[in-house]
Amino acid sequence: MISRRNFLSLSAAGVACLGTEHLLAAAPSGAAAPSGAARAGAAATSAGTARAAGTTPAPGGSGAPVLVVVLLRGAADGLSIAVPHGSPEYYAVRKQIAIQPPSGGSGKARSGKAAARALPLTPEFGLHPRLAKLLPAWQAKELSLIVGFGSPDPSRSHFEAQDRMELGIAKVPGAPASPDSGWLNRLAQGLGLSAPLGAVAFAPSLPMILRGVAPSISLEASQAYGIGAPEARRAALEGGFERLYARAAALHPRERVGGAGVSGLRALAELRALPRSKAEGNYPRGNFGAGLSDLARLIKSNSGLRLGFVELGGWDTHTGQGDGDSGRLARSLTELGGGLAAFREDLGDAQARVVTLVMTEFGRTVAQNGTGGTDHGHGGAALLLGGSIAGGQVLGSWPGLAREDLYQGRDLAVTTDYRDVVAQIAQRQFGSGATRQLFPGHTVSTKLQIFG
Amino acid sequence: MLQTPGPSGALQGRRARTATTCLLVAWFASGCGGAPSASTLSPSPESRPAPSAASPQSPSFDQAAARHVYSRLAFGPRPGDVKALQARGFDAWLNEQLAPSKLQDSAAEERVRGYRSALTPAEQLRAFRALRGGRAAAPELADEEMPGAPTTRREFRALAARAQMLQLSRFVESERQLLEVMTDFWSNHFNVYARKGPVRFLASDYVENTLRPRALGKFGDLLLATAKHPAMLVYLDNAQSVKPKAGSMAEARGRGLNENYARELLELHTLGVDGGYTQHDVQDVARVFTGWSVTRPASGQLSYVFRKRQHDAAAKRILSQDFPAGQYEAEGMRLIKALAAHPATARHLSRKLCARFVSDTPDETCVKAASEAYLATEGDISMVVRAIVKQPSFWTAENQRSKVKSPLELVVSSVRAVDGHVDGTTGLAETLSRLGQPLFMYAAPTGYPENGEAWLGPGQALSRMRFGIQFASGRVNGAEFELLPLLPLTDNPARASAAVNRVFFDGTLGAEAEAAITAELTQLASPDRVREHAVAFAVGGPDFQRQ
Repeated sequence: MISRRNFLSLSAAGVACLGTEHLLAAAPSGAAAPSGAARAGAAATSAGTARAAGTTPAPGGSGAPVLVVVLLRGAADGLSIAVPHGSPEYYAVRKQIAIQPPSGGSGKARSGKAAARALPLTPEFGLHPRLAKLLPAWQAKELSLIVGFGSPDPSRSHFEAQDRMELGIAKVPGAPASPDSGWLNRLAQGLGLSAPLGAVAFAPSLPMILRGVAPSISLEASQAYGIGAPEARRAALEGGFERLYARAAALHPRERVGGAGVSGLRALAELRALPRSKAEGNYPRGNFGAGLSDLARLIKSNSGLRLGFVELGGWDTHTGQGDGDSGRLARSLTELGGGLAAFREDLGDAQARVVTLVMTEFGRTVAQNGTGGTDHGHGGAALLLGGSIAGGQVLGSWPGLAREDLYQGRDLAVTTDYRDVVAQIAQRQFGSGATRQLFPGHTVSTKLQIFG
Repeated sequence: MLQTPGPSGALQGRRARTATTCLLVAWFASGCGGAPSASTLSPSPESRPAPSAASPQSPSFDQAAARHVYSRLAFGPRPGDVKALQARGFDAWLNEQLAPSKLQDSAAEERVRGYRSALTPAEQLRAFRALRGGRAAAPELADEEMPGAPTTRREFRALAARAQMLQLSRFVESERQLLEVMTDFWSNHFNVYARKGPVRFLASDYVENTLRPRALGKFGDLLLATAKHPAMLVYLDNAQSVKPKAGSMAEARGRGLNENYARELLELHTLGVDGGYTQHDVQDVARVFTGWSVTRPASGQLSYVFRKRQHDAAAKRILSQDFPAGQYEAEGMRLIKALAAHPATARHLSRKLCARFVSDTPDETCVKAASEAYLATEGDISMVVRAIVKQPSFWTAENQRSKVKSPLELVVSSVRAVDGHVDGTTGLAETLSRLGQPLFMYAAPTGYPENGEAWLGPGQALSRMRFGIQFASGRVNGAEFELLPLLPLTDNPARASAAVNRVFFDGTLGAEAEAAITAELTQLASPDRVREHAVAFAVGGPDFQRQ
């Protein structure tokens, strides 16, 4: 008997080929560099050249490639993001909360409301209607979805799973000892970043993913670019604070207090000098939109930013998850889609050298729970945006929703390890020299045709 | 702007207490010569051995040690507290703090009374439904879904602010400081989120009637009380978790089991993430708590109810123990008891308490001693606290001032340092929100983090500098205090920095650190500016961020 999993993974691959016109068979991403570089423009070409020469691209500078990671904290429901509208099982176990298939689709429609229907991407998958603002990116082949995406780590604890995902480890049998730095920081180390704004998180505190020896900084989004010192006394107060914090940093090098104050004040000075963007008004209100807006400013200016991190919470939809039109998930996805679309528009030409990966710590149960929501699951979905990617694809081998295909009999399986995606992107953006220590002990698979 | 705090009830009450304690001090001082005798703590004041039995390795009870006590077991000292504690000795102070009901606190009660709602949670909910034109409040209603006029939304938010203030004002005002520190600890350990459904109506009741009265009692009682509180039942979805019945109305509406509470109960409230439970345990724990729910708002009550018909009465197996069929509500009680008595729970809580009181990376000796005390006393929290402060590691110099203050600790300790008070508005809750720690607003069930790393990104450091500048101008939204009596105006930079050292550090700031502040004041034009900048650098600078 042909298993559903095999059937679907074949069809997904077929769709991918049709969508991208890249019919290359599985090849390491390095081999596909020429076509990717052609799409990416000058910036990626320079990275490609540097890689060919076996050197790391020069850190900072104008037009340097950038990686932005968006972490959806709280376990976003992948089955509502990349909607498997070709799977009857999906509609069978999510009676109230399934996203209805696109008009004319194969699934059984519960309601006729067009606004609540999935947006058609491929014969098997659709996009949540509240992500409609991302459709132009899909059409421009600057957006791909990855299904069966996640970490092989079995944890269903948000906190544990987030920590491990940020450290770049998976606690599975035979896994190597845990590194104590975040993988984005290891990438910063590999890149030899030294600019104060080379690796920036817009988050209340430095996230685990950026912890480590390379300089990195967390800023609270939309901080008013000042500490409230009256103009006439700004130099005395900011200068005084900088000297006091620098003194503390020198006296207690192992503590974060001093260093945090000094980095904060220096970043403040740099951010204050950046021009404001006309596109600022398009971002959704809140820290997520403000963080993306600030990231765009840093990318477009010559701040030396190479690695960016933004987070968005509100995904733990145990109750009232809702459908395509209402409920908690629809609300969170509106913010996500609006933010990413504004970011893309704001970046403009710079989009060619930026790759944005949107991921979450784990997916949610395939079946809805007893309270109109979903519980902690395993595999999920990721979004990938960028001017240089071979977009317009639903990537990854679809694990299938038949009971025998589920992880532990209840959750979507993971067929694409997030580390393989991160490693491929990092390699393409920054070259192999920068990525050598990215995931120690993990053998990277490059089977996904992210860049064509 | 701010009212001058006259000889308020709070001040008088404090003075009265200090006077009586001085007598006690005299008696003690004759025996122990001011040494802290931390290592000779005994369970009750009656059976106390002679203070002179202090072991030789006891740290000397100097100003720094006394300040350390106020930094860790309180939200910072008010003027005179450190000297009084030094004179009085640690044991007497601790015994008094560990028997909070005997500690007179009427002045604080007076100041916090305004933040208490005259209405019960159910009455508040009803009032809001009336405001909104009688539409039923779905329990999962979030802020953004609030129908109705903006005024309604504002009122709705004001309720949450009052709940925050009731908590925050006690931290600032209460003489029962250790009880308040523990209340803060449990508020995070048993976190609830005000934006979820009717939790904002319930948060004050949850803290005032559930957490605080048990904060120094038996952990098992506290655990059971939280399990039954509507705030927790709603926050972690247990109120809606029911036995799925094939073909029933419930199933038709998609109702059934919800694992959220069960998982966090094991992972966060009791055993800890490495506590050795499985996914199967989580599911069966969830089944045990089916039917533990909340009365319908229409009933006029918002309280715990056990719904027998929604309970899954079949047999369960949890952590290798059998829970036979047909035990109903009693099996939940049994499970709570078993979890509270579990060694993994003892260890998990001990580690967290050592992290709170001693160090972000507590030593194994502390964790072990606390764990043993927990198991020996059936989870008596006050005995666990005693065990921790008996540890040499609590007192070592390297652990003093080693923890980063949370924004909450920064705000409360700075207001207390200048003998300030809440001003009757909800402004101080906003001040705290701006610093990144709005109370009852942490969505994840872990509660706000305890480790310093989480609180010191560069962005947060900037917010703290901003707070220092505001504080120095005397305009902290929601607080009333006068800098003048404590910090006289002077155009002498050295005198100004010595004064902030006295007020904000009890003189424990080293000479070089003090000189570093002095150096930043030399170019300033007027005495106002000299003092203002000195206060800004003291409160917003690196040293005051530590405790």
